[in-house]
Amino acid sequence: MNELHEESINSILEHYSPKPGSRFYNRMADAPWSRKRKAVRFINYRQFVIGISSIFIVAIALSSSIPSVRAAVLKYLGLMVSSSETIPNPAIPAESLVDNQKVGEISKLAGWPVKVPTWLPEGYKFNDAMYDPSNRLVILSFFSTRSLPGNDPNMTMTEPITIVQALHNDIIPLMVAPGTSVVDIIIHKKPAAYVIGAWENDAVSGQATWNNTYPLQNIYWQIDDVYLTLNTKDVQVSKEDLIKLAESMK
Amino acid sequence: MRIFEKFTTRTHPLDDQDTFALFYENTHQNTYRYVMALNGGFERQAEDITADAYLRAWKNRRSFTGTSDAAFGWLLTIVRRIVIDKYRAASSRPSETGLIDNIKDDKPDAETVLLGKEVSEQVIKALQYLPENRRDMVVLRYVLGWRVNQIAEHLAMPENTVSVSLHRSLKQLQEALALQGVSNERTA
Repeated sequence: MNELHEESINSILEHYSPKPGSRFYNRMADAPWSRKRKAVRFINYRQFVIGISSIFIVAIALSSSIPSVRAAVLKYLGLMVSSSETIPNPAIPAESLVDNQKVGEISKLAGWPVKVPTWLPEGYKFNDAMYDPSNRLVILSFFSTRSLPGNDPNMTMTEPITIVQALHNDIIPLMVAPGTSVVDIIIHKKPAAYVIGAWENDAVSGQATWNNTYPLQNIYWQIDDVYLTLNTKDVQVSKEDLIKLAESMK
Repeated sequence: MRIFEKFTTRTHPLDDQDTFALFYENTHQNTYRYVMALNGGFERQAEDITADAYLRAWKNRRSFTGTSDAAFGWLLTIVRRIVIDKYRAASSRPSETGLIDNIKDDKPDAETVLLGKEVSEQVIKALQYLPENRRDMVVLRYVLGWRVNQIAEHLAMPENTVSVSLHRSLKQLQEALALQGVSNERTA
């Protein structure tokens, strides 16, 4: 008899991955912590607010159709009235360092106005913005693509700067290990941290370990309720550049 | 407080609705796997135990004082308690020494045990003949991938005891599966 080896048993157990059925998920949807349950409550509240707002808008529209009523309402509301129907409107700058539409969409998903830089080190351009719902964090990436030595224009290298932001800081991109060597810095007159090193993930054990020797520059700081970190291993970007970038975030 | 301390300070890992929801989302599938492996693959029972464990954890979340990493271990302790409270009395597991005879009686037709899924089910069923503590160790080690020192800490046992028990349990499983006609050739 060719018995199952211990390794085979280990492997079978390791790959044993049954999943709960719909019965379980239906039950869990009513659990006190369920986001679905919360969403239903939120929808009811939102419907109520929309209803009240609609009534208010209809009332304003009706009253605005009568000139004297309209004037009285505007005066009562203390609204600023323009001098004519057509007035100068300064153009919105066409150029932006990020894709505003995408950042707007990500802000909606994230639930907070995503902070974006108004200055980037030379050669860097916006690459992408994404929202990670499982960790509830936003990632912005900026790339700088340069030619490598030689005459071949196809030989290039790309260096990224990554900015991560979230409303909580108990996740790895926003944490440093207790033994990390931290340089205290100031961003917008508030304490911040400059650190060299990185978390290294061991896929087998599922453990991440902080490595002080990895040449990744990081800055950790906070704007209002948002925790942020930015990092790069680009040797052409200095600590001062990163601080300037962090200072430019709004 | 230095800034990095501020960044490493954590809130209670299960306290509010959002953190508990995240904990549930991140762990419920592994919890279910753990329960399924412990209870012999009975789906409805495993779903009930898993659901009850999270509801009990939610109710008692403020009594938990560890880190978010330790929260999963705490939840598994609740699972074990539910298994013991509700289901152990209902099931009549054979004693450790009765293993071979019982498996002999249950020996299936060798021709029916051909597919990997069936082999996997046979392994899970064979697990049920291990004593509770050792079955728990095997599931934690091989299904959930915990390290021996984590298991030792979780079960409050010396690491050496855990290592020896795991080794014995695997041997025992190997023998039991051989008697059932489950072989390497069939898993290939």
